[in-house]
Amino acid sequence: MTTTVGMLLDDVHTRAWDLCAELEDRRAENRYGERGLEVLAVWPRLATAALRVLDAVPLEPAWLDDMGSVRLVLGEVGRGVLEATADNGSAAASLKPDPAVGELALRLGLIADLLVGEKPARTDVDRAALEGLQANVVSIVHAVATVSLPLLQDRDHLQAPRSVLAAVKARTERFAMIPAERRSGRYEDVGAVTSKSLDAAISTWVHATVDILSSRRGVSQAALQVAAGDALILTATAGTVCAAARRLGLVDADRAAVATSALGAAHAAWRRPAAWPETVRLEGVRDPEHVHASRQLRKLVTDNLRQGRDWLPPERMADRFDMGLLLGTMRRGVHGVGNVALAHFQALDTLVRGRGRLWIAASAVTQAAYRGPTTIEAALRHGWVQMPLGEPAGRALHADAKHALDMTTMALAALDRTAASVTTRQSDGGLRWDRARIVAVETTDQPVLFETVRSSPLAGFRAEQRNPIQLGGRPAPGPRR
Amino acid sequence: MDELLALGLALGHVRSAVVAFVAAEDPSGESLFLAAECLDLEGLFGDFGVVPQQVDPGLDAIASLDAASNGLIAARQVVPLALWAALQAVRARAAR
Repeated sequence: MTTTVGMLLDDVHTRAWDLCAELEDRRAENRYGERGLEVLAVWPRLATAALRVLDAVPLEPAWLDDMGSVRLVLGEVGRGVLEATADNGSAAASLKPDPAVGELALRLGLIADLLVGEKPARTDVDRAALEGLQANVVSIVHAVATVSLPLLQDRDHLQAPRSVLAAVKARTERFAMIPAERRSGRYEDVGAVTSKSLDAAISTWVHATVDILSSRRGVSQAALQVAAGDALILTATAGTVCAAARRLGLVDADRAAVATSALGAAHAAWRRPAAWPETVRLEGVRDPEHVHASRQLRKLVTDNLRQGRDWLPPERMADRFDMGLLLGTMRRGVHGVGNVALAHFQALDTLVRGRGRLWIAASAVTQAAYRGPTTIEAALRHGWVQMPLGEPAGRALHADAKHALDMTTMALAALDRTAASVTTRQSDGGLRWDRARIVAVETTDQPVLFETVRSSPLAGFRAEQRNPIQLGGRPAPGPRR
Repeated sequence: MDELLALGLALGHVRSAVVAFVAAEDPSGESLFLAAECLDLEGLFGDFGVVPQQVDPGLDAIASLDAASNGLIAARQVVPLALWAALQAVRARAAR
């Protein structure tokens, strides 16, 4: 089974919730012991891991990122500000780090590792998904800060670390309060790929296809057609899985309907690039790696999701797979198709606008200026000539590739919106359990931040103030000169 | 018939079959997989340096594959066994 960011988040939220419950019980029994120092000792790891997740996927444009204050305080904690400010920091450092919080840090680190290589979030859908992911991570930090503070109470030498953690709690609260239903998104589908899985086949196919299509020398008609043919199969597969999940009531029906429709449009858009006009030819040698990746992809789709000559019925599909995970695989697959669509369009753009690579049947040349003796002679023997610039056949190839790219982009955005989690349980205190995620409840007794700067008016501020000018009336008498 | 021309015509028919399979409104998706196998076959023709010939586009997919098979029979002396076997495998799957 493929481990995904979503599964790790489920686990880390459950662990954080259990930690909160355990510490709450201990507080009731008034038996914290050295737990406070043990938790304090592991905070740098937790902060560093959380910061790695926050930095894993860049947000573009960067000025939309409002996590600056959280990053700042996490960075300081990660650099050891808690130990440095503790009066007996050496004692805290010598204690064994709290294993429960250590597990949280470890899982956040794993999430950061899985997100390595993700492209910057540029679209609205990606930005919303990224904000959700960051809220899920910051909620963990907030929850641990919330339960850490009581552990450090009544200890004079820990006053400064307590203030730092109060700042962490205050700065993370706004993000931790984001409702769970607004946090789900495609980044939860990012997963570690296991060999011989559909995920692995998709991943290998995407890399091999993008590589060959991006190669000026290596790209061939066969590569372009096979890429389009595989995109046809993957969009059809994703549409089938999405429709099955909708029929089984596992996804929001409206969103799934929109996604299925968008996938149908993308599928239709790939038909013409896969068919390729008979009057146009592009020579080239097949890339064995690409051929193998394409065959492996088709084999895995057939083995997993087909039965005889048809797709698996939804019920059989649900028996065989966790449909949530399968839909996640499909989302990753359609994102892969998006990457391939871009490489496919760029390759055709270069070919159609450039010279000397594409061939056209001599009888199919439409521009009179290019129907010279050589072309006529070639047409008589059903031969081929190099495609002149501006031929309608070339322009049609270009337009078809652009259309496939546009439709695929729309389809993957629609499919991303089906990424939704399931409601579960609820609790009390400053934290709430909603849809398998910790959500902070707004607190009114938030302590004033120790580092808050209260800006006072600058010297001379009043002196510079001028009386407002009343419009439409007689101007007030100005200052005497 | 010139054997190279026969091979070129066979490739032209395989290309026609791809167009027909891709255009088919087939909810089962089987035609997509057949189209992909035909694309593999086209690649195999390409590996042997065959230049496609234009053919009558009016045939359906099965008829195009039959015509391609006839083309290979006509060029039997120069047809690599791998090409022949691959075409017959696609025809068998399409006829199921």
